[in-house]
Amino acid sequence: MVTVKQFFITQGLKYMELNDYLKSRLVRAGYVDVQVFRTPIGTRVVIYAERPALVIGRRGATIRELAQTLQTKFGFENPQIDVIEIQNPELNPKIMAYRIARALARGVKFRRAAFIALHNIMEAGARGAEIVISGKLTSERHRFEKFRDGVVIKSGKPGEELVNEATVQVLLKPGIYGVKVKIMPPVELPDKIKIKQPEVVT
Amino acid sequence: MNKKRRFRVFVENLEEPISRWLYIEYKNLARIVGKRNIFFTNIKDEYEYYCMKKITENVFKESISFLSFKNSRLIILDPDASKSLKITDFDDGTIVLIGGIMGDFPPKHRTNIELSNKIKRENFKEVIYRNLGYGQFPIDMAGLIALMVYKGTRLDNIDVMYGIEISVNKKNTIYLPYTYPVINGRPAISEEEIEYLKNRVIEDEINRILSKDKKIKIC
Repeated sequence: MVTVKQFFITQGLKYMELNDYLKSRLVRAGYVDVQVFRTPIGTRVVIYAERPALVIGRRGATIRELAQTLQTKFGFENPQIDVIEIQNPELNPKIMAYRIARALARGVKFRRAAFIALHNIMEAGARGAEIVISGKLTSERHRFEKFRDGVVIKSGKPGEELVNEATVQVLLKPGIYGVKVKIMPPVELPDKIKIKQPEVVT
Repeated sequence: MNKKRRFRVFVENLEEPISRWLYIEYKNLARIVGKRNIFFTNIKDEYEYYCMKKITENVFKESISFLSFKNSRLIILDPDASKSLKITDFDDGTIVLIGGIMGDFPPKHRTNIELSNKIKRENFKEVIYRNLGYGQFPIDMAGLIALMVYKGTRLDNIDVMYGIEISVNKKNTIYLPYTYPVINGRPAISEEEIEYLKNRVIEDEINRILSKDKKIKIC
């Protein structure tokens, strides 16, 4: 008999495997996340990506191949794949982290890549952003460089709920580089006080 | 009359080439323990040898594995050692050996692989391995801690800080994930190193691109 604990662990492992597979398979499409829903007629798989056209492929060739793989490799019954485009990619930490990682792999200097990404995030209207790049940056010693702009709340409920975070690793000649991006989207903070206009009594 | 014990630190350079950052740390270590008491080994490159001679006269091209000190006890400061450094570990003519490694995070245990396992025990009276507590110390800070223990401070009584953050400008900070002893309320990192990280590290980055395979000026 499968216990509740075992059920959730298996589900989690399955999600992790699927996520890893899609991450490597859809790297050019700017893959962000996946959600899986069980429906009476099969399984609905929702893929969030920066460029949905590359997930779908020419006349749906890639998506059909993907559906086949999800059925055979991951055991999903009758998978229906939906692809959703990320509306504002500059406010998505995963996309920005991947963009920085790709820039580093192409040989762009880490400081330049980070400042350009930071500028793009702030231009997209974020309240604040923090980019941390770690690794053997230009020297034999490992160090972290942090780049920040605006306000990024680190503690309390707003810090947990309002700040989006993503980490990506990239293997370069000196070793593994880590790219961590935190973005605080343009949301209203819970401590904001609105002063009501006095009502006019007639 | 008791013979006065001498504190001697050997640094086996394991980085090639020596960067300006590493050179600053070597210089600071010489300032901490004294020019007479510091010895650098495994400096093979002519230009680096010339620069190291500016720090101290005690520079060797050979590795410490080829040097013999039959009357001395050798303490290898290795983070992987099972025992911590104590004042009783020092006797007349004890040599403290530090690996000249810039460091990885998480650590790659290079001291253990490239130094501890390669020392020839027959070249010394005794070889012992000691750690400096939890965390990874920069080269100069490892020398400072060893000196403090030698002067009688217990390792447990030395205040340390794990990781320091240096502000470069309003938007950019550098975080060093290493352990630093705290003296008078601030980490004992040298001002020259902070200055280097704030202003000259970018210059070195550009020089590295422009000079390609050529040596970067360190002194």
